[in-house]
Amino acid sequence: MIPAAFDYIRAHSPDEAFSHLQQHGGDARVLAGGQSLIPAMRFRLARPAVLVDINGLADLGRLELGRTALAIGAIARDSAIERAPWIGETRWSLLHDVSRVVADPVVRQMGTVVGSLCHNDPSGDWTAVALAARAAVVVRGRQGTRTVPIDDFLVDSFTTAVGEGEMALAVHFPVPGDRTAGSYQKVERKVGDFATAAAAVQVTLDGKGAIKEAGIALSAAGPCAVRVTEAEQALVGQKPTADVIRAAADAASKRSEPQADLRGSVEYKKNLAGVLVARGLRQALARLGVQA
Amino acid sequence: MAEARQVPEVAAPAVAQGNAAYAWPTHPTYMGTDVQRIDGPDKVTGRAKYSYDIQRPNMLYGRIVRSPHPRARVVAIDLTMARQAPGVKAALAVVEPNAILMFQGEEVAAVAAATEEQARDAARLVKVQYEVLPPLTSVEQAMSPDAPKVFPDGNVREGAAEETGDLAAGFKAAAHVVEQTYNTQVQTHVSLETHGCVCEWDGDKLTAWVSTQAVHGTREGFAQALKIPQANVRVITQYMGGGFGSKFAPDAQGIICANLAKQAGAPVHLMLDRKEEHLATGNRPSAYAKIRAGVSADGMLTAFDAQTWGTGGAGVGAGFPLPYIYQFPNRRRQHKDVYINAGGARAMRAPGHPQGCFITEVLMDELADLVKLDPVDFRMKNLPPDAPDARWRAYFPIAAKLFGWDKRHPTGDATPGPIKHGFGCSANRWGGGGRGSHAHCEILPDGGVIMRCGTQDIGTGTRTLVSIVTAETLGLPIDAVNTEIGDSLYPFSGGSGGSTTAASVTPAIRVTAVKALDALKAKVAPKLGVPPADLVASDGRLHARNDRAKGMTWKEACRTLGAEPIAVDGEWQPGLSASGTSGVQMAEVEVDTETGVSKVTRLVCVQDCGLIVDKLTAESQVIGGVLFGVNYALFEDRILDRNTGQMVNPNMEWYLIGGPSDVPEITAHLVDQPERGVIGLGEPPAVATAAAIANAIANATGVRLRSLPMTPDKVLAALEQQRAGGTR
Ligand SMILES: Cc1cc2nc3c(=O)[nH]c(=O)nc-3n(C[C@H](O)[C@H](O)[C@H](O)COP(=O)(O)OP(=O)(O)OC[C@H]3O[C@@H](n4cnc5c(N)ncnc54)[C@H](O)[C@@H]3O)c2cc1C
Repeated sequence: MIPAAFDYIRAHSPDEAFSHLQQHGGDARVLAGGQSLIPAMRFRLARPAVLVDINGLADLGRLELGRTALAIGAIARDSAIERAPWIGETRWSLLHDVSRVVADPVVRQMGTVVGSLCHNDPSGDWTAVALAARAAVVVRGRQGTRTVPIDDFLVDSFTTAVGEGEMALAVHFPVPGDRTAGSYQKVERKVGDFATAAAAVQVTLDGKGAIKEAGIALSAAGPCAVRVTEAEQALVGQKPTADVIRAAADAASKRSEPQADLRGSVEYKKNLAGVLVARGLRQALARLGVQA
Repeated sequence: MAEARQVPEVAAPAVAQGNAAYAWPTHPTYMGTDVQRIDGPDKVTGRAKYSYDIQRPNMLYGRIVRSPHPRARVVAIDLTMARQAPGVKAALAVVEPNAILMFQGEEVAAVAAATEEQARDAARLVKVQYEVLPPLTSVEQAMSPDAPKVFPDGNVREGAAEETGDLAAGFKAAAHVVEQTYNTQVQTHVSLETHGCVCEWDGDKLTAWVSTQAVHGTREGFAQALKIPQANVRVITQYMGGGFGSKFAPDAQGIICANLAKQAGAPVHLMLDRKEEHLATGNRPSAYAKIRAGVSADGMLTAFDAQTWGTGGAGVGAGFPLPYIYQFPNRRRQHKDVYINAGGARAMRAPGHPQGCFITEVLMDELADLVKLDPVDFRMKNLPPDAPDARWRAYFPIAAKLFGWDKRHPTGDATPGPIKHGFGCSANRWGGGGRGSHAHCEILPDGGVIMRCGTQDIGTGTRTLVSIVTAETLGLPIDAVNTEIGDSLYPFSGGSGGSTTAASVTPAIRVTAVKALDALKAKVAPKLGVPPADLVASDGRLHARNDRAKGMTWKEACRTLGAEPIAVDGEWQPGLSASGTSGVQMAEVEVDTETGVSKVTRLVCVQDCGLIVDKLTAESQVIGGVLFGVNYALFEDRILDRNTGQMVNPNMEWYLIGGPSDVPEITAHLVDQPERGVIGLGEPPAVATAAAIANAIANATGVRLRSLPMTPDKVLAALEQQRAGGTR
């Protein structure tokens, strides 16, 4: 339970952090909340030679709610989302839900949204939410900053579009349109546990009550969080009915490719994926005053 | 092959006549009230030193090399490289070449080094050559006729059949018969503090700071194993983080620690890690029961025929009481202990009872359903007659009222939606009771009071109880008493097991304190001109019974002692404690029939406590026991790999224990029966919980789970079977 030896650098500006990362390349890791990185180092699953601590960069801790996007800085904590003044608004209900079930309150005090995305755990919560909400990550590289859509950002288990010597600065969640609501459904063995299965759902209704946009994603359903395109297609343009919801849920079950472990069998988790998507849709719609 | 270290239930008469001089006070000041732990502040501030925290000059750290294989022959052990590793001061082989290892985690060798890291590194350098042998990894495998004979006397030990009444007649009288198989899992103790100790030699004298439930028993264990006189061993346990029945002896790690310390000529600290705990420090055996049971049309139990078996691992028994509590007039039971290559069982919080309770109580509900009786009504018909230690006939109605049992719906929640609610009930019994504890009390000329007893506080509040009883008896504030426990140099007291500690220790303290007070009264009486028998101690004064003014303060009284303190010994006497207790629990659950997740929302526990010494610690025991039961019901399970026999979840990530949100709303209804004297309470509340939850899940879902733990997959499988038209 003792990490291998490493050097520690506390960055005082994003530029400084970036230059250290550039200098050490693949040997360096960004230290955000440390809630995933430090345990991995203690189990010696990770052995970075250098840690570049970005926790002193107050500018990266902000939540900026603009006209088109909510920008969550690289060291904004999960707990900051949980307590954001706008978190009770219906359109942010997906973020509202997830901010209460990631890990436990102690971990959320340190853990960051961007760190979670960069970590890209197959069972992480924020990755599925970012997919359903169609977020994008701002990455700083040698050529300057670029904005990477979340679908391209999540490459594989514990692998993202952040290259060697690069760092993520923020994640942008588009401000949802009117008549948008979401829901995050997670089954966990107990509080503080990673998901046995989880579903992130966000829907926007048009003036006639049909589904204009839909985001459906699963966690713990494959090598990394997965968008269920078939479910989204089954929903968009439809009036929300029990049949439509069932079609989306079935698509999710089918798309889910979980691993069997002590949390449950493949069969169980695939079944859960469908159950949770259906529940998520019903809850999101109920939040918009629609019973389906 | 060792038998599980079972602490016997003490079979003393329920109420014994005692010496009136020592009788419990009829209008106590502290006893029966909420008294906070006297060591609470020390514990929460870290001042309390557990064995793990003991630091001695030049102390080394020990580490044990354990068998990674469930079954293997040791070919050779090479300590050369380990001895040369940095910081290493001692290295030894625990077993000889050719030894056969019978479970994963069995001790093979050990090292001691200057730091814990060095010890771990050195342990990796011990080269052990194993000849891996095929293990028995499951009960099914061990029982199959073509299984290799792994244990010298066979893999299965068949007990004698127990039979009463006329079974054939019993089944003839039955209108309905249930035929089912039930089982409970292997549960490990998961004490918050792991096993281990610090050992230090001074010549041929050993001092050991041990995480133990028995300082005296452990002293004896060290002496026997090390072949030294008991007088040369001192065992100290000031603070201890639970043992639940797994910590009565030095164990292998204690003896290894002492040997390492001897070899190194320096104190050694050897505490186990969580994996070692799961593998090698005991568990609750599994239980299986194939039962045929009959009930008459009017709801009377008629017959019970059971084949039972279970495993306590490598060579340890797996007994449990069955049928539990209810009276089947005609019954037969045939039990088999099955041995497999896994860590051996030890006593665990009410050994055998949660298993027997779960199996019987689930069966009871099945029978009640067949005769269409409410589970409580059905139980009331079939309970044994009321007795002081068996008051279920009184407790079921109390629990039903507290719980709101009348709102129970018949089996199967018919309300729409995936979330189903249900109620379940069950009953428990336990022995407990007191036995020969000794104590020593000194009253000092400056007014100080020392009460010494060689018991130990395993986390249950014993230290606080000693202070309460002493203060109560001497009429002093609780913090005026210096309670000294947890040291084998103090007067003998038995192990903290079988729920006997409070009932053993508090009478000894009472007797000793009364004796000390009598000695003080004898000194003071002439000075006050009051006969000693007319003196009473209260509110920090000694005064005449009928004239408070005729007296002096405690300090003044003690000053009359001059230079010579009062020093008296006392011991447990009958009449102040009782054995035998009964209780009833009722649970409400919420089952998500789409995810299979069950959540216990509410639990009422009615428990006989006899005379309550400290209401707060008594309630803590009940709440703790219920949580123990919730974990047993829903989460805990020692899982062995079917092929390799290795434990797949020897940690806290995969060996699941509930979290704060899994804690139901618990009502601890303590039935205060002061006339019975003190009765132990550590184990009884842990017995009935799983059964009540199982019955509540069946009431909610309409499907019955007969196997613990009741995980989501089992719930869904049962619902699926029902949907497919299978039997319940
Ligand atoms: C007990 C416990 C329970 C948990 N339960 C859950 C759970 O239920 N659901 C869940 O989703 N998570 C859970 N987690 C993980 C937790 O949410 C993590 O905090 C989160 O996944 C990572 O955030 P962090 O800020 O701690 O990142 P860190 O641990 O600091 O970093 C994680 C990884 O991301 C990299 N990284 C971080 N920030 C950047 C950046 N700006 N640019 C580039 N790379 C970066 C790091 O180098 C590292 O490789 C749990 C953790 C613990 C300890």
